Amino acid sequence: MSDAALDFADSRRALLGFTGRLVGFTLLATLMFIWLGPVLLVVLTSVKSNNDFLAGPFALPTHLTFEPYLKVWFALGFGPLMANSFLYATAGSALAVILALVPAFTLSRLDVPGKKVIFGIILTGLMLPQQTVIIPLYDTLRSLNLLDTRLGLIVVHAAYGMPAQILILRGFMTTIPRDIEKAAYLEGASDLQVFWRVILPLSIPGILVGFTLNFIAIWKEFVFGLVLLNSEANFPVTVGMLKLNSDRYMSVFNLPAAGLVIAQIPIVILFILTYRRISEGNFAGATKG
Amino acid sequence: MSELLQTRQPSLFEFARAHVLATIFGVVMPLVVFAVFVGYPIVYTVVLSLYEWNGMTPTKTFVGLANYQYMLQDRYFYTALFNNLKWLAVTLVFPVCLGLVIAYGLRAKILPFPTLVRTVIFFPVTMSLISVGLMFLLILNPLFGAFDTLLQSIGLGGLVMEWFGDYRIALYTLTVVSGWAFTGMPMIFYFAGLGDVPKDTFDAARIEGAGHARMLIQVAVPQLRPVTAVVVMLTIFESLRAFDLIAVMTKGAPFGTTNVLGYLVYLESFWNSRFGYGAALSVAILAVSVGLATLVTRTLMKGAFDV
Amino acid sequence: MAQVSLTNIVKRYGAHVVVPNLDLEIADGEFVVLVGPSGCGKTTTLQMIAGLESISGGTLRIGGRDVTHLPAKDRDIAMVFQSYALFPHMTVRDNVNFGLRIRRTPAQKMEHIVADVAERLQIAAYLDRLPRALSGGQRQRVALARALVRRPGVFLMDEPLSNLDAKLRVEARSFLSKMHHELGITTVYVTHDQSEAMTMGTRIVVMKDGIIQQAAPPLEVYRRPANKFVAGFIGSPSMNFLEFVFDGAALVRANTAVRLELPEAQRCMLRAAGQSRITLGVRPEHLILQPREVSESGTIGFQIDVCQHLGNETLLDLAEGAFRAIARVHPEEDASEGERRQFRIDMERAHFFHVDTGENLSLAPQRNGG
Repeated sequence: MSDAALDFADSRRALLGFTGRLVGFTLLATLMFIWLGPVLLVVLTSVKSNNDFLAGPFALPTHLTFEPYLKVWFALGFGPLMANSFLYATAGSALAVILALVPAFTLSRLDVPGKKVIFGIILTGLMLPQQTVIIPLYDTLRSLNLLDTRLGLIVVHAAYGMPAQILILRGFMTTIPRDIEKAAYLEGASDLQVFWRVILPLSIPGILVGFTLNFIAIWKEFVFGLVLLNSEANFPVTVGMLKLNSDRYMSVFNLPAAGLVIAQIPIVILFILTYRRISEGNFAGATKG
Repeated sequence: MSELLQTRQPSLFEFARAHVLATIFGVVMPLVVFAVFVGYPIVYTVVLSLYEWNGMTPTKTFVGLANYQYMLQDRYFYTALFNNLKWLAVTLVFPVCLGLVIAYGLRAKILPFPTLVRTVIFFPVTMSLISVGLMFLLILNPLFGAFDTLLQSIGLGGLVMEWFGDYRIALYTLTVVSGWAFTGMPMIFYFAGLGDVPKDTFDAARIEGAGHARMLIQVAVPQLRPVTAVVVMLTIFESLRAFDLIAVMTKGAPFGTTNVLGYLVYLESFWNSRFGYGAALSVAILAVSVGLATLVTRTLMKGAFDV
Repeated sequence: MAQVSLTNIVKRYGAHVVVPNLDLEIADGEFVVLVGPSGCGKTTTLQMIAGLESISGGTLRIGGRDVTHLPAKDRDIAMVFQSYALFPHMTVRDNVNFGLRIRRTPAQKMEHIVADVAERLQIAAYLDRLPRALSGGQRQRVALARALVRRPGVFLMDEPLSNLDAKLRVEARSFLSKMHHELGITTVYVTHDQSEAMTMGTRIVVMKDGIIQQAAPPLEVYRRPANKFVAGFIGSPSMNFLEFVFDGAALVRANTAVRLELPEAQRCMLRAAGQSRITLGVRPEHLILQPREVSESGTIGFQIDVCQHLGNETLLDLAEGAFRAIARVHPEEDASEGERRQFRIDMERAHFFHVDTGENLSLAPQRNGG
C-alpha cells in the first residue's frame, strides 16, 4: 500500500475540471521554477568554462568541462574537507544512535517512574539554541585539550544528536506491539535479552532513519565547526566552503558552483537510498510518539 | 495504558533494583549527558554573564549586572533582537503557510506529480545553510547573478535591487532565502498530518458545498492544530538559529542591520573578545526562546492534543 | 424532490474496472438500498452519485438534470457518512448549519431551520456542545441533521448505522424509515447488512462485482431471488443449497436412496429448462422436521450436529455426507444433537438454480423482472 491511501481525494484527480488542472499545473510550474531552478542553475554553472560563464547565467555551455571540479577538489582542498565532514557525520551519528538506543528502549518499553519528566528533560537539549552553549563548550573543550581536535567535535555532535535520536527511536519502539516482548518476559528473559533479541532487531528501520537524519544534520552543521576548530585541516566542508565566498572566486562562478555540488553529493546519495523512509511519515511521525 | 492498569507505581528505587542496566544506560546516562552538555553550559553562561572576560586570561572580573545594563543600551542588541522577531514572523508566514498549502494541494490531488514536488521542495532541507547562502550569493550577485538578469530580460529591470547591500531589504533577502530552504520541513509535517485527518470530513465539507479555500481554512487547519504546534516550535528554534546564513551571506552587514542575536554572541565573544557580554546575550536568547516556547505551549498546544 | 437515473455508468481506475456498466432508475421519493458484500461496487456507485468519485463513462441525472460532470455541491444532494464525518472542532450547531453558512442563508432563517431540524431529531439540547461530548447515537443524529437542513433533492447514506451498537441500530432503523415516510426525500442507502436492506428499503439493489444482480422490493427479492448469489445473500441464516440430479420426475442423488418427488409445475419447469444437474435452494424455514415415526420416502435424512436455541426459534445445524444445511424449527420441537432425523422440503417454496450460472430456473423467462 502506498501512502496515497491517506490522501483525502484519492483517485479524484479526474474530478478537477479544466480550471482545476490549469491551476494545478501553473502551481507545479511555479514551484519547480522556484525550488528546482536555482539548483539546476548551479549544476549548469559548475560545468561551464570561464568563457562560457561570461556568456550569461542562462546560456548553455558550448562544451562540458569538469575542470572546476578538479580545481575545487585538489587546489582548494575539498578532498580533506569532505573526508572530515564524512568522519564527523558518520562517527557522530553512530555514537548518537548507540547512546540513544537504551534510553529509547527504557523510556518506551519499561515502566520507569517519572518517565514523562525524564523524557522532557532530555528533550530540552533539542530546543537549546546552539549559541547559548558555544562559549562554555569552547572553554570546556579548551581545558580538556580537545579544542581544535576531531575527537572533540565528534563528542559534541554525538551529545547534541542523542536527544533527537531518543525521540525518533522511542517513537519507533512505541509502535512495536507490547505482546511481542511480553511473551519473551514470560519465558524468563532479562531486559538485556529482550532489548538485544526482540526490540533491537525490530528497530533497525528506525535506526536507519535516525542515523540518516543525524548524518544530514551533522553534514549541515556549521556553528560548532566554526567555533570549536581553528585549523583548516580539521574543518568540515561547511566551514571550509566559506573561503569560496571571496572576491577571488566570486568573479567567475564555476568554482563555487562546483564546490556546492560536491558538498551536496553525499547527501544526494543518502537521500536517494533512504528518501522513501524519511519522507513518508517517519520523520514527522517521530514527533507524535 | 499499562500505567493505568497497574495498581501501584513502583518507586524509582524499586525500578532501579529490578532493572539495573536499564537504569544506568537508559536513565542515568542520558541525564548525565544532559547535565554536562545542557545544564552545566547554561549555568556556566548565566554565571559568566556577570563577569568580564577576554577569553584568554585565567582571570575573570566580577562586574555584577553591568553586562546587562550595557545590553539594554546597546543599539546593536535591539537591532538583532528585532531582526530575530522579524525573521520569525517572515518564516511563519512564508515557508510555514506555503508548506501547508503545498501539502494540502498534494493531498487534495490539485498538484500533479506528488513525489516530484515533495522531493524537490524537501531537497533544500538537506542542504547546509552555508551551501544555500553561497548558492543565493551566486544567483543574487549584482554583476553576474541569474535573478537580476532574469528580471531585466522580462522587462522588470526596475525591480532590481542591491539585495544584500541595501540596509532596508538585506534582512528580508536573508529571511526569504532561509524560507526557501525551510519550506520542505512544514510541508512534510503537514503532509503527514493531513494524512491523519479523517478523509470523510473533507468529503462532507465538499458535499456541503465548501471550496478548497474553505476546506483548507475551516476543515484542515483546525484539525491540524497539534501539527501546527510542533511546526511553530520548530520554526521558533530554526529562526533563533539564524546564524549560518548571516555568516556566509552578510556577516551582519550593512552596518549591523542583518545581525541576529546568535551572530552577535559570536561577534562579541570570538571577535571582540568580550565573552562576558557574549554570555549575557546568550542569556537573552535563552530568555526569548523560553518565552516564545511558553507562549506556544499556553496557546497552540493547549487542548491541541485532545480534539 | 428528485429522481436519480444512472445510465451505462462505468467506473475505472486505470485498467481496473470496478463498475462495468450500471443502469438504475430511482423514482422520486424512493428509498433504494444498495446492498452487497464488500468490494461489490456499492460504495463506489454512491460516491459517483455524490460527486466524490469521477464517473468514467455513462450519464448520471438527478431531477432530470445531467450532473455527470458537475461538482458535488451543485448536485442537490446531501450525504450521511459511516463515520458521521462531523467536524470535531465545531459545535453541533456549526456542524449542522455548515452548508447553510456556505450558501449565505440569512441568520434568522438559518436559526429557524436549525431549530426546527434539531427539534425533530432531538438534538436541540446539545447544539452548543462539541461532537466529542456526544454519544454515538447523538452524533449519528447530528450527521443526519446536517444533511437534512438543506432539504436536498436526494439523500445519500453510506452505512450510516454500522457504527452503532445493535440496540441503537434497530431504533435508528425505524427512525430513518419514519423520517423517510414523513419527508418523502429520495434516498440512496448503502449497506452490507441484508437485514437493514430488508427492513428499510422500498427497493433493494443487490450488487456483486459492480453488476446489479437484482433490483426489486424486499419481499420480492426474498421470495423470487434472481440467482443463487442473491438467494444466498438475502435472508439470515442463508438459504441452503443442495445439489441434485433431476431424472425427469424427481430429484435424486447418486448412490443414495434419496428421492424427492416434485409437484407437477416444478417438473414441467425443470423439463423446459433442460437441465439434469441442478442446485436446489431451500430456506431454513422450508426444511421441515418430520416426526420420528414417519417413513423415509420423499424426505431427506440429516444428522443434527448442533441445536442453536434462540428462544423464539431453534436453528439446527445439519450434515449429511457432503451436504451442510440449517433448518429453522419451532422452539418446542423435540430434536436433540447427534440424532438422525428426516426432513421434508417444501417444494412449492424451493428454488432451482442452474449449477454453473446460478440463475434461478423458475424465473428464467422473465429474469430481472422486478
